[in-house]
Amino acid sequence: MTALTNKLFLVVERDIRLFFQYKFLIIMRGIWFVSQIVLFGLIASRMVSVTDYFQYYVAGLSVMMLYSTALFIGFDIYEEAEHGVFEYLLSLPVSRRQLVLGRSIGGGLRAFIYVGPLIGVALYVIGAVNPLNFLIAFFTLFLFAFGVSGMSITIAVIIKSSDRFDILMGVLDALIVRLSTAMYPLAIVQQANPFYGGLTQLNPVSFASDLFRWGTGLEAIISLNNPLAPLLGIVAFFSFFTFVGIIIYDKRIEGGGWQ
Amino acid sequence: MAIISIKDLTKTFGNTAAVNHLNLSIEEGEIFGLLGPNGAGKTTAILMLATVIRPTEGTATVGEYDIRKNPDKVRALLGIAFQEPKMLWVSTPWDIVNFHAKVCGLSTQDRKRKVKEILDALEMWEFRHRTVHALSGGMRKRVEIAKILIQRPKIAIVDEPTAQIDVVGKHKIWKMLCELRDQGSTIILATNELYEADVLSDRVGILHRGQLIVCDTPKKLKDSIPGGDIIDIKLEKEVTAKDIEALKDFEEVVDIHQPKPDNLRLHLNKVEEVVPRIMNLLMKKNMPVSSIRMSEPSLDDVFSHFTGLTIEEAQKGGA
Amino acid sequence: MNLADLFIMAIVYNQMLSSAITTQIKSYFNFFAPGLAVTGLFASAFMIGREINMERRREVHHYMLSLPMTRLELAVGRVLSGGLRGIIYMSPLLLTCFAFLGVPNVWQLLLIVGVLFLLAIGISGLSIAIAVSTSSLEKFITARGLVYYALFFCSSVFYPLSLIQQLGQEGKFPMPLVVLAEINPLSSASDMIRAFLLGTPAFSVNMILSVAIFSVIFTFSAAFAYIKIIERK
Repeated sequence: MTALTNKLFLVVERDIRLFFQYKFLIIMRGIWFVSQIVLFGLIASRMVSVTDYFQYYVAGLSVMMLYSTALFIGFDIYEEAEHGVFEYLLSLPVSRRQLVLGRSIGGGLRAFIYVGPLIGVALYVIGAVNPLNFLIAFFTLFLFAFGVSGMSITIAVIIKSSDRFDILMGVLDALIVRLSTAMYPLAIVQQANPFYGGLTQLNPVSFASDLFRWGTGLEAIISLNNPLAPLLGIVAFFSFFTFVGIIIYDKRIEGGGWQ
Repeated sequence: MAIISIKDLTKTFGNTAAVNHLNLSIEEGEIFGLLGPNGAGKTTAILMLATVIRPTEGTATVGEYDIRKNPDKVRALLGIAFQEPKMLWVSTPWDIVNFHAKVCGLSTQDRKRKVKEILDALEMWEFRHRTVHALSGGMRKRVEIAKILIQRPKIAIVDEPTAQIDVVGKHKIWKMLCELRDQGSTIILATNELYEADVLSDRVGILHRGQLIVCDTPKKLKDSIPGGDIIDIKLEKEVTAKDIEALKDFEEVVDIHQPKPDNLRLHLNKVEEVVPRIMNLLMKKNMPVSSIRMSEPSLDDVFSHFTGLTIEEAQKGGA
Repeated sequence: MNLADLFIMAIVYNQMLSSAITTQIKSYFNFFAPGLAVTGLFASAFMIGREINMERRREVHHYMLSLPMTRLELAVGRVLSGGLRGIIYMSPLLLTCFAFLGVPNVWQLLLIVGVLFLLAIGISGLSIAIAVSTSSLEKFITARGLVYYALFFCSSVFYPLSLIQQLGQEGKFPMPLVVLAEINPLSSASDMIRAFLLGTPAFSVNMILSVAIFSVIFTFSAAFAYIKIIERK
């Protein structure tokens, strides 16, 4: 068991260390986050009729940031395939399960480490926290980040083409983030278009955003009656992509054939 | 005792068989040279043994483990230094070798000492914190080799270990590979460099179009070319027809040319065995020798003999 | 920025507009569509800077310098190509605008295309100027991020200029950023398209001037900087 977890930790540690070597990406994302809060969030909140929209938006922004950062692991896999590092990882004395679990955890954990301070900034801006609720929400965001990493890895190793991956991730990003409650309440989405509302209700980004707001304890921005449903939604999302990822890695993955 | 047994190993990509029913055994403790032009299937065969890619047909046993049934256990025995260094541009030599040592199970104490030792020996210690994109091709190759040297696997696979490295560096790496073998590793050396294969390998297998053409020690392979060895003898007297006939009596002598009255060119086999007897005969016939020059066939000659092409022609033709 | 922002985000935002804003924006979808086209142009024209920065770091520019053309041709060519790419990428977004908001008359169309082209080469120029002035990738990305998001969000792409001005007057938004939004060529280009297609805000020659001045300044600074810096080691 120790040998199993040791190798897993090594894979996780590697992904975390590599991420923080891409300083330019970290800087760029940080600037995006801050400018979204102090520019877009501030101005847009004057444009809309939703109460405390600024706080509402900042909470959703944190989840959007966590989502996009956790997705990076899929792009890393393509970078590794381009440089042949993927084949090197496959040649190591590490099982495929350890590799996919390690990368999924590493991808999620590093997103969490990076976005953590930004969540701190967001909480400062929002101005209130219910500690117990927030701990539960925090844990769920953890699972959410792992689930997104697992999803990114799964798609990357199925597609094995960087162009198609870029296109698919662009489309997914466009739809997943915009058809969620990260930027607007569910009731508004349903009013705009019931079909959009239906998709938004099932979206893990919605679950994560609503749980984050619930964790703040700020009545004006809480849109959840019962946190259990989104909590279970995230657990299901995480479980599905982690286990599907393991199965695909075990059965399908091999070096070469990357376009 | 064979540590690797390859049986009918095949890999096809679309309609092309990159490796075509390869059958081969590699003995424990030897340096086995895998020779062949680009596209012969060396790297594909290696990647299958390392369980990085899956065979289309056939299998191999590494140690006592089947590559299809127990890939995890196979990888625990193997270490591979790839032909193209596999590293991200943001990594540093220290990161790369240190991570590899950790994954291969070295203790923290051992690891720190050995990373320094190996990087120092490869003249990379000074550059240990430089990112990969700032390293030259030769430096990246050294880092790739460093991984194997620090791991000391039971079976080391090295693919073009000295490509892009200067002459002094080559000799250093050859010496380190020999030391690795002496410490108990079996080494599979895939290379295009004939001299390297000749100097290092205990046995050589030549691949062409995904198939094993021939496999034996370098000496036996060269000896298998009829008249492959050549000696040029310059004498102080003219050589008569009778003398030439006497030389032809040696069964190792395949052919004799006389470019000048006092020069002879003999095509023969097993030159080191027959030259003393030829010298004895010439002495008895009172024919002093003023100079003698010997050459033996190269592995390129061996390749040409068995395929009808030089390695260069095979590469151009697209193995 | 992509069509999902128009067909999802803008539609939903339409439901959220406050009563104060609906006097200025009847439909957020219609308001945002020109802004989206301008951001598409901005993002694609800006990409040339990243490529030039990478060429410098990998010394690919040595090859460019060895080609049989003058330095000025090379520099201006890079600026123009960046702009053209922006126009090409933006054209489907602009056509989408016309499909939903109506087609402008010939003169308006010519003005729109002309101004957007000027904007595109100005943005390319700005991007190239940043790229050749920064020695490392990290510095380039930082500078690029700051300029990018400042221009993006301090403009009338997403919200009316009057809203930003109002926030400035109330002391809730820094005045320098209000001024930036007012002189921002992205604001001018978006508002010009809205003026022609929606009738509001009112068209002003300053919209064209603002873009033209921006374009001239950055085209020539970029060309000058490119020539000076790529010839240096």
